[in-house]
Amino acid sequence: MPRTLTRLAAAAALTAAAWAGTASPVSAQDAGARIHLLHGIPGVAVDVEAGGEAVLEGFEFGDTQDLSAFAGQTLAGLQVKVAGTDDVAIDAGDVTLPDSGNHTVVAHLDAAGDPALAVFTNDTAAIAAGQGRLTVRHAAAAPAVDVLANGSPAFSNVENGAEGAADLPVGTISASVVPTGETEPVVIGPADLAIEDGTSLIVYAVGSLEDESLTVLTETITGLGTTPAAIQTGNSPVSDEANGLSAATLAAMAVLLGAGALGVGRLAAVRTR
Amino acid sequence: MIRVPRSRAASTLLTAVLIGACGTGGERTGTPEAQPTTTGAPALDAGASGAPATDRARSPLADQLVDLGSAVYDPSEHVVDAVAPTGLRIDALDTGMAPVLPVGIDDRGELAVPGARDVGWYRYGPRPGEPGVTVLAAHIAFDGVDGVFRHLDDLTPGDEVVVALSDGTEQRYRVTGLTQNPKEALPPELWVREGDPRLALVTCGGTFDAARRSYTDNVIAWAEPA
Repeated sequence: MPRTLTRLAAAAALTAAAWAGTASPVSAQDAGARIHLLHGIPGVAVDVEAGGEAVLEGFEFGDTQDLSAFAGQTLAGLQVKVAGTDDVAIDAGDVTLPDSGNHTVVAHLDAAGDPALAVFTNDTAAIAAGQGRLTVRHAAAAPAVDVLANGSPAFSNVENGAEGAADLPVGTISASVVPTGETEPVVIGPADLAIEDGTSLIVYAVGSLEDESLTVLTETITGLGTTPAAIQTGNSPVSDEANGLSAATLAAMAVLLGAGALGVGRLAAVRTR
Repeated sequence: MIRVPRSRAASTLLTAVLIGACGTGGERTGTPEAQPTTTGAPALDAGASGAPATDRARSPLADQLVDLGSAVYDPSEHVVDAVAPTGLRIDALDTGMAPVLPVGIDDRGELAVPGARDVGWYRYGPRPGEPGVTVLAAHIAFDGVDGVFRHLDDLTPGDEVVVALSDGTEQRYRVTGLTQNPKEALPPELWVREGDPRLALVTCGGTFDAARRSYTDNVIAWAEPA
């Protein structure tokens, strides 16, 4: 299917262009980019080469690789081949990876069922205390969908390559994916999703409706939360038992001390006689 | 929530099923005649016709990749553990079993610490036994009443701390040490959500500023499961 390859090559070229466009000069505060590569095409293992050398072999559906070490680098002559073969599936040319930001590259099927590459930029904005972020990305060979959370529409009319996102209170939601505007058939789910404090949960709908291979991949980004700014645990002085002496004890001691002083005075008086 | 290791077996099985269903993957049944030209390579889903790979050198880039494992949805990772701390007893401080209440943050973004005789558990952080630091905070003194943590700074390493849980069990800890910090400089270690389960007991200390009705410092007693 040359058509598929053309699309793949186009997608790869777009990807490279998009990266080149968003790449920004490395500044002092940049800690580099976080780039993950996700394999979202069921049933196809691939090899990845750069300049004719093997970078990644036997990359299987559902697996994730961290490409962050390549941030800001240009991978020359990048090719994706069907695993164990010389069959070039994607001839991406020279690909420059972004040098900052948080990105996920997903190899997936487009709406028509053809392989494609998508680059998503992940939202790493701070999340309020007690909330987590849920992002649902449509990366499957399927029409536009609605995402139901606990039976109610959460994200509507999400098309292939698009996403819906929201910050939600921590807890568990039951998520289902249905054709847009419908409540059935449920094509994915219902699946429990844990919304955790300060964590971004990204859910990818992948596979093919026609091939009945629809399924879900997940990715999490932690450490986005907001922690308490301070812990105020006292608005009054402690009782006077600071040295193991209660106020009552101190009062009693004061009485004794007074009596002692009187006694000393009396003794002194006696001595002066 | 308790993180359960991903089920590689399940994802591998799924992959195997999918590969079987699609008839793709590592099969190398192509004949020379069926091999495509360089301009007519097969689609990704036509691996069965693929030409056997020629030997190729391993790129030095390969060493920089980090395999993060399977991203296939695993329901066991989405089971939220509901066990919460309900009581705290520190015999060395004669606290008795003080009630522990789940608390979040208030309008000022600060921990919503309960009254003098209660202990607040930061409910958005780790639960007892989960990776990271479980934070329990209580007053040293509040509205003229000595708080549960009035004598927290008297704890010494080895002292026992007992946390009662909502499932009826108890988790025992041993104090490992005390730290003190200015109120405006809470240690980042307090909010760690990874690593061994630990317990942090937090109260106030330092000097009481009568004008601000506040103490200058926080005192933290750290403990590990016994």
